[in-house]
Order: sequence, then structure tokens, then C-alpha cells
Amino acid sequence: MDYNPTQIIRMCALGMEDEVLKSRTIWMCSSCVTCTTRCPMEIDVAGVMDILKEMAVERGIECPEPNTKRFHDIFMGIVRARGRMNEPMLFGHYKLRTKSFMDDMEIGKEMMKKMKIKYSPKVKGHKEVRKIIDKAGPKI
Amino acid sequence: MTETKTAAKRFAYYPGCSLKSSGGEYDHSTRAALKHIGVELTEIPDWVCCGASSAHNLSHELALALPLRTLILAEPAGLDVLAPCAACYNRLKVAETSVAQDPDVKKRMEEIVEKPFGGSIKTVNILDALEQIGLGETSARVVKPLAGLKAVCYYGCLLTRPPKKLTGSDPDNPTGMDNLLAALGAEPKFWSYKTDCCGAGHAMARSDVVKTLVGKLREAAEEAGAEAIVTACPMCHANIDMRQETEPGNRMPVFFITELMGLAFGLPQAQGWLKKHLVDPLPLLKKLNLL
Repeated sequence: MDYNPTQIIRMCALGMEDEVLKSRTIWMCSSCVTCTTRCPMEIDVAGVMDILKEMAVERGIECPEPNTKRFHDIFMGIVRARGRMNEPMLFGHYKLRTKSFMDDMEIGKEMMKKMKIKYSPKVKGHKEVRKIIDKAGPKI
Repeated sequence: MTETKTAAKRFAYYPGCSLKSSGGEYDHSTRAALKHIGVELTEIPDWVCCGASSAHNLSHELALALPLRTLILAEPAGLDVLAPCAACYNRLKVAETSVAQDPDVKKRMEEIVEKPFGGSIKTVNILDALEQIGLGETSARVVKPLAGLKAVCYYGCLLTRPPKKLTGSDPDNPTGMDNLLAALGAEPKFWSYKTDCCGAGHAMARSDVVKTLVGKLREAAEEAGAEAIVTACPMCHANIDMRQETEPGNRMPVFFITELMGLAFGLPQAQGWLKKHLVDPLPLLKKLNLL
């Protein structure tokens, strides 16, 4: 996190678009929504973080947390194609795209041994989901 | 506190993608525990993804439209929707209240989904549902009280925040799960990390963040005198179950609240759920004679 959330909000108010949209902070936000809950000025800080991400992507700004962005893109791509998430595909695609096969090997092995990961079906509603995503964004 | 209602309760059931895969124990234990107290769950046919984290990270409109589509799908059945997964609950509930609170949002979302939403059904989480039914229905069916099980209730982020869009649990000190745990005969320990983030969706891209946050949770749980953590979120469960960095023999087991219900009800399939955990909870349960 390069700026703390208070700084991000102040920078927005000061019109510091470049710094804010290029920050790591907006992508490190885990959307725990504690900020929104506590803000005495009733600013939806978590909501602001989300919108800043959307704006950064719209402007083609290179994400300083590329794996985080890849994760979200892969996730939405699978949902768009199938209507639901499919974990084997998510993990597979993610590992390939980020070249991180060796990470989490132990966990992966345990999960396979216990047969925890299931291949979810493509559902009928996937056509509607595709329409919704194509209308509302993001561009996939 | 005990009230026994004999009226059966029915809910439309939204398991969500996680419960159909790595969060399977939560799905199975929820279905079994609720059936045991006379609740009928009907899975919403052809439900789709709620959008989880990725939708709201990429498009604020998609984040509302996608879960709204599922609510629209469920509405004709006239049943409230139970979503055990905290993230799914949060996404569905935020969609529900956002369209109820703002007619412009409603109009735009219905435009995207190309269907209207009457707003006649509500989304509930597992704690809400059990409270609505009455804790007496749960405590009346406990045959193996979880005596001696000292655990902290970990609500995570999404069951209570943002408070203006959800069903009203205190975002700083919720007590629904603690009450439920006490009704099962266990000993909920008070701690100040009930709703502190576990790192959530950073699990894959920034597991270092999750490991740090989970480490804090585990330390805090120990300080509170707990030997286990109880949760109602499959993401929190996965993070706590898989990202503790202490030596393998020294990790704190984490339960889904519905798994503990199954145990306390004496359901034979309960052990099967527990075997799916990466941190084996059986040694602790055996030590306390709870198996």
C-alpha cells in the first residue's frame, strides 16, 4: 500500500487523478468495508476504492498488482463463459497466466487428496450472464 | 431464551459456487443441520454466480446486476433466500437493499437484467435464518453438548458490513454466532477480532497478506483462551484452514458453525465433513470426548 485510505480520499478531493489511479493502494484494498462503516463523514470509502479501480482500467493504466488484476479477469472470464465459477479452471488458468505453479504445491496436493475441488457445470443461465456482463462491463 | 416453534420454515437455497466446490463441508453441514431442525431448503434452479469479489472490483454495475438476476429468478417461488456463504449473502443483500433504497439504481439494474424485481423476497444469512426460526429449535435437538469446546466466533467482514445495506447485526460486536455456539453447549470466548479481515480474495495473488492477517487472528484466538475458531464464511474458513504458518502440528482448527451443529445433533455424517479440513480438528474433539 503506497498511500493509506485517508490519503487516497484527500488526494481525490485535491484532484490528484494520476497518483490515485496509478496507486497500489486501490488494488490492495480487500473490501473489508471497515472504512465505510466507520467514516464519520459517511463517505463510502470502499466504494470509492472500487470506482478508482474501474477508472484505472478504463484509462488503460498498468496495474501495479498484476496478479490481482489477472485473478479478477480470469474469474470473470469463467463466469461469463459458464454462468458459475469453476475452481479447477480458475486455479489452472491462474497458475498458467501467472507462471506460479510451484506456489501452494502443498495446499494443492492436500486439496486434491481430499477431493475438495469439484468441476462445476456450465449452467443454462450462462447466456443471460454473458448478456449482463457485456452490458454492464467489464470488457472481457 | 428458549422458544419452540413447531411451524416448519422454508427457504430458497443459494449455495453459491464455493459451497459446490472447496466449501463443500459448509453446504453439506448446512443442509443436514437445517433438515434436522425441520427446515425445508429448495435450491434455486439455474442460479448463477453472485459476482463475489471480482465483479465489484471491475464493475460497480455488474456487482449489483448479477446477484439481482438471481433474486429475480427466485422471486416467483415467494420464499426468502438463504445464502450460507457470507460473500454471496453480502452480494445478494446489497443488491436487494440498493434497489429498494434507490429507484434510479433499480431502474438501471432492471434495464441491464431485462427483467423486473418486485422486492417481495429477502436475503438472509445462516445466523439470521437460525435466529428467525428460534434458537430453541436448535438447543432442543442437542444430544451431545459441545462441553469444554472453547472457541472464538469469527464473523469476518461480509456478514455485518456495510451495516446500512445488511440485516442489522452490530458490525463491531455481533453476537448471533456466539449465542448459537452457546446453545450447542460450547464456550464462546470473547475477543476483539470478531470482524477483522482475513485477507479475503487476496488468497491467490497476495497470499503473503493473508498469511499475516491469519497469523494475527490465530494469535488473538489463543490469547482469548480459544482452542478453535468458528466461522460462517467459506473464504475465511479456507484462509484460516490453509494459511497458518506455524508448524503443521501446531495449527488451530477452524469449524463451520453448521458443522458444530451437526456434531451436537449427533449426526453420523459430521465426521466426514471434518475430514475435509486441512487442519485436522479430530484430535481436539477426541481430547474433549466430543466424538
